[in-house]
Amino acid sequence: MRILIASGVRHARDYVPLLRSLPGMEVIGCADTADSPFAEDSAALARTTGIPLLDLDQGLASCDIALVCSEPTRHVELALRALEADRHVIVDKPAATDTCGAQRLWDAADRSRGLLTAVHRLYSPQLVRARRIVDSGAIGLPLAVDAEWLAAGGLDGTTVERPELVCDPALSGGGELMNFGWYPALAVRHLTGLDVDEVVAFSSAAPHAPLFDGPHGAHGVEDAAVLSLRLRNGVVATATVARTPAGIGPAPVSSTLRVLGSHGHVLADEDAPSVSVRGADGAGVSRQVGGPAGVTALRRLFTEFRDDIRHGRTPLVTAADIHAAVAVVEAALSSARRNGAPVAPAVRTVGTTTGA
Amino acid sequence: MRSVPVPGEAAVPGEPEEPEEPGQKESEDPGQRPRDHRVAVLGAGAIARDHVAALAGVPGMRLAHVVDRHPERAVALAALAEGATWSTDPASAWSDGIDVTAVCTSPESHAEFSVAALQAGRAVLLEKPAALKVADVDRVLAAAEAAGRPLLVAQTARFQPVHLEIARAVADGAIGTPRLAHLTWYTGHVWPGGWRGWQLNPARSGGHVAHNGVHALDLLTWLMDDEPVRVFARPCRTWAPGMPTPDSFQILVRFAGGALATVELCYALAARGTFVRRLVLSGTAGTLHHSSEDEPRAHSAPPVAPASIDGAMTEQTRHLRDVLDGVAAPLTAPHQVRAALAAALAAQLSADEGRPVDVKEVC
Repeated sequence: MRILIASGVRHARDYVPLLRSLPGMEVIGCADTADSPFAEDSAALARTTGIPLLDLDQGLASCDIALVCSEPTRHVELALRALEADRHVIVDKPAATDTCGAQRLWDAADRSRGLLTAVHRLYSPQLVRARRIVDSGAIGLPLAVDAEWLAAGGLDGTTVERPELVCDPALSGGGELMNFGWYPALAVRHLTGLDVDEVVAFSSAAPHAPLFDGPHGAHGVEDAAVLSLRLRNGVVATATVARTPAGIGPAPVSSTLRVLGSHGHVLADEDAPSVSVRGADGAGVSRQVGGPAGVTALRRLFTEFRDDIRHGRTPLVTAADIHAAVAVVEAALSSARRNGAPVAPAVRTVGTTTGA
Repeated sequence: MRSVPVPGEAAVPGEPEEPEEPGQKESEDPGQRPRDHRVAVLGAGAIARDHVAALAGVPGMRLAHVVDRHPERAVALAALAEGATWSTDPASAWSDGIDVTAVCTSPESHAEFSVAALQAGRAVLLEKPAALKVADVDRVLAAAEAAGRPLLVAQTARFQPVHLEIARAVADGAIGTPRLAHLTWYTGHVWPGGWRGWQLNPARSGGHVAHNGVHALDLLTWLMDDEPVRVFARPCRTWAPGMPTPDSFQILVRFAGGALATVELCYALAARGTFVRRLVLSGTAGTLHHSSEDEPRAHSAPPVAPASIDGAMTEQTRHLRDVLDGVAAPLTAPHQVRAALAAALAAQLSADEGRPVDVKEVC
């Protein structure tokens, strides 16, 4: 399966070596639009990974899958180009920064012969297990879900290429709610199968100050947010997202989920299970069983999507899921701006966009 | 480093040893046993029974008297302590011979009884919620100040071992200034004996969000050393969909300094007597995390409470004794009592009306 990196900005530096380690995957190159503000990033990715730097149309013509890794605000335009070329598309997270963009993606996916999905963590082992437990009926009917997504540390080059890719709305679409809210929104939907009817959010964004003195304040975006969701059938959920000076577990991202059901509950911690190793010098490390959850989730996402294409299967995260998750984040941002006023997430309107 | 007081520890260095509100310090003559603090328990329900059991385990504290409008209940509870008397007259709970009045009645009567006891010169241990209106808790706090008598509000969550340890860590500066909290309290299921009387009547209990939510809000007010200013609460009916009050709920909180919190209180665990207690507290210099899932757990009935939360009532009673002995000030500072109650009442209003509420709306 030939994969093109469509703009080598966010996360591409991690995705390329992982893709190359997977059987049946070939990274054919990196391409970007002629007017890309991050053309140099794509060139640098090509140089450092030894993949060709291609013209975008040339790259799309030669690939099976386009992996869109631009700054978030350009995800939709690049994905549309690929879908219109009838390529299969994986969009980095968040797949879109507003529901208008998500709807355009959905419409384009409906027209395209290519499959569309997006980067998510639903294949993280503990989330897979939580879903299996829910599906087994062991906890009865899911009644409440609680999700927590915390990024550890700041925004230095080891975690994020440049702070503005998370903090500058012109590039990121928002702050940590936009950056991380995508994950719990997808997870809650995945575990319950329910749409969200109402979102209430408090955030640290202006006029409030960032909680942890990061660069978010300079851009007027949040470094933390707390959400309350009302889902169909009276089910409820909370989500806590933030970038804190220290996380909980050893990974850069700590996430936990709790699902309360009518006949039991399930707790899922992405950092678990793990093995603690302590050296004679007293230093300790934690080794997650099976490797880091984030890497496992990505590896499986790529291989499952490959099989989706081969076998004509629907991806785990579809255009509808993308729209729903983006709508929750968008509603949360709107609610937070209005100091917690309840907001109904947008729903798809049919036939309002074109392929332009 | 913050100076969050933690019970059982010496006074903060540099501050006077003398407490703000001296209790009844006894003679320190060697060989002379100090007189027990005589406690009258007003109300003989489930929580009163817990207090009586705790009193029995703390030297220097003695149940002296029980008051309940139902004689048989007063008799039964008084019978648990040697020499304890009983009455149906509330005024006997603050009469001569009583040092402390433990107000364990339903919440709508808390303010009236507490003010009367304080005005009679008794120390007061007041069950939560302190009152059902902010104006009423203001009356109680004013009465305590005027009387110069100790007032301790029974926020037992503060005395759970895990929260004492967390308070010490915060006071030591382990995470800098707390800015984001995520509190998860799941219980299986419902609260024992709690679905048959005044608890279901919001006019008497304040509603479940206020009644039990005040524990979480008080805990966060204490640990974050900040006051909630805006809340949103969403109720959830799990085990009791037909009941007039939700058994579970979630609360979003914004504090005066901008800090945020998510609170979940849920009575949806399937097995009665089981607990999930989790707290994440992120500060400007680090993150603190506790989960009761890390503890050994029984897989047979009946389960025991996790070690991290067990024994809070006894610890609280020991603290009460220290307050009465004049070696500690009440852990529940008046401004925190008021802030926690106001936040809980605001959360209840939010749950009732489905909108975020500024805490000042209920003040």
